[in-house]
Amino acid sequence: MLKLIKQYKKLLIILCFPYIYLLFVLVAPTQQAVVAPGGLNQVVDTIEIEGYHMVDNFNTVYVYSFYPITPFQSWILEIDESMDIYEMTARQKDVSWKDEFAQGQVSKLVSLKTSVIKAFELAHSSNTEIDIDYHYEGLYVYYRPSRISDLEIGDQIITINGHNYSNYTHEEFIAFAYEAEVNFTIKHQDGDVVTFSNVNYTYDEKDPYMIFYPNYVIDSSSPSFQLPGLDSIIGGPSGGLIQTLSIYVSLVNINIDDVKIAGTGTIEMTGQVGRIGGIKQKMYTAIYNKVDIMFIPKSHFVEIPDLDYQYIIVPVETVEEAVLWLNEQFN
Amino acid sequence: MNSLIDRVFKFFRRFKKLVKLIDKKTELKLVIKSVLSALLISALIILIPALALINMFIYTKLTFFISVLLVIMLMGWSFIYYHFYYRLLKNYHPSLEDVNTKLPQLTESTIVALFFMFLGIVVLSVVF
Repeated sequence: MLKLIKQYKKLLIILCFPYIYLLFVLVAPTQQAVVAPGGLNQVVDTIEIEGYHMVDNFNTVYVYSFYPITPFQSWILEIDESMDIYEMTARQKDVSWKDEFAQGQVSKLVSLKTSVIKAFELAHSSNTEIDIDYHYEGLYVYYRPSRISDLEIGDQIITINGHNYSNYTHEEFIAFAYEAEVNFTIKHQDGDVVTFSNVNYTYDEKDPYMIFYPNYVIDSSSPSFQLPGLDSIIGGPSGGLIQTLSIYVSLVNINIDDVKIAGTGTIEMTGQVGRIGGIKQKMYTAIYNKVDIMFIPKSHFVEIPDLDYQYIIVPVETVEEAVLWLNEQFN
Repeated sequence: MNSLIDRVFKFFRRFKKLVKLIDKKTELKLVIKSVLSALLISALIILIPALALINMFIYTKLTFFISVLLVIMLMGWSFIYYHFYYRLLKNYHPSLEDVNTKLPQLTESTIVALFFMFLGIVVLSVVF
């Protein structure tokens, strides 16, 4: 080998510098993140309701988020209008890939449960046989500074500074979590094994704020349901609105015909449709997948790019507005 | 048909003979050295284009196309590897200069490339 190296010594020395430069450009992580268009997921694959046929018209829209990206990716993506490059947030810098996946699963679980509750409540006004019972059971940890290693993403907080969730509403209980010094009693579930422990946390100015999701437990429902969508690897809360609509339409049996409906927006227990990330990429995804109707949160309407949309955009503030629109169009 | 089979058998007999001849004229220690060096050189050559392709996976619409290109690149790597392997082998064993190494080089490269192609097809059909 040495003989070969000696033979091409000059050439190798000249090539060595651009090689190292290219290697750096292709491997070194930047502090940037990118959101890219993704695809559609049929809600029919996410939920099964006993005795009801789930309509297959409704689709959630997902986008891809990559971070950190390499300098090479940053250059090639700058010229692509459908992608957004931005500086990584403090939370993105703080979470591992494992944490990020857990976050997606927690927000999806909460979103699915909220969708079921809202859809059953809405359908109850048309058919009183459809009913659901649920109760509030504290908070899910969605984000915590990584230095608090005792607290894992997905843990359930049942007591904060001696205050138990059972005595408060979600809004009252979550307020305790943002005090400067807190003691959490947490319930950690690993398969069938449940453990309880206490975690102390003192807020530091450098810490990004923690994020929690409400934990509503469904006691019973008529009809009963299953959530096979919990097994999928795609996570996130942005399918809330469209999941609620899909379940509602299936329960009250609205005839949607052959219309492909997509949508994005989180769902709150109040019925409010919340903001989501990557609205621009979701609008592109809907174009690529040839949808007919696209529901979006009203607050995003002024932000969407000026594109040649081949579908109807329906901005809504609440799920009730979306239900009303569907009833007017198809009933 | 028979003549084609005969030609194939003749070809493999020639290939076997050449491999035996090369084996006779080489030392195990230097063969290992050639293998490791060829692996290093071919990996360094393929690294930059492979990384560029892996970076392109960010275009999710092109995922399948890029995966196919990666398989083709892997097939190309086998040719680069065997080129350097026989070159280094000749460097270490000057007595091999008179031996026709082109035939075993191309045959072995093709066999490995075909193996990678089948492996790639299996993996891609499972993933997509």
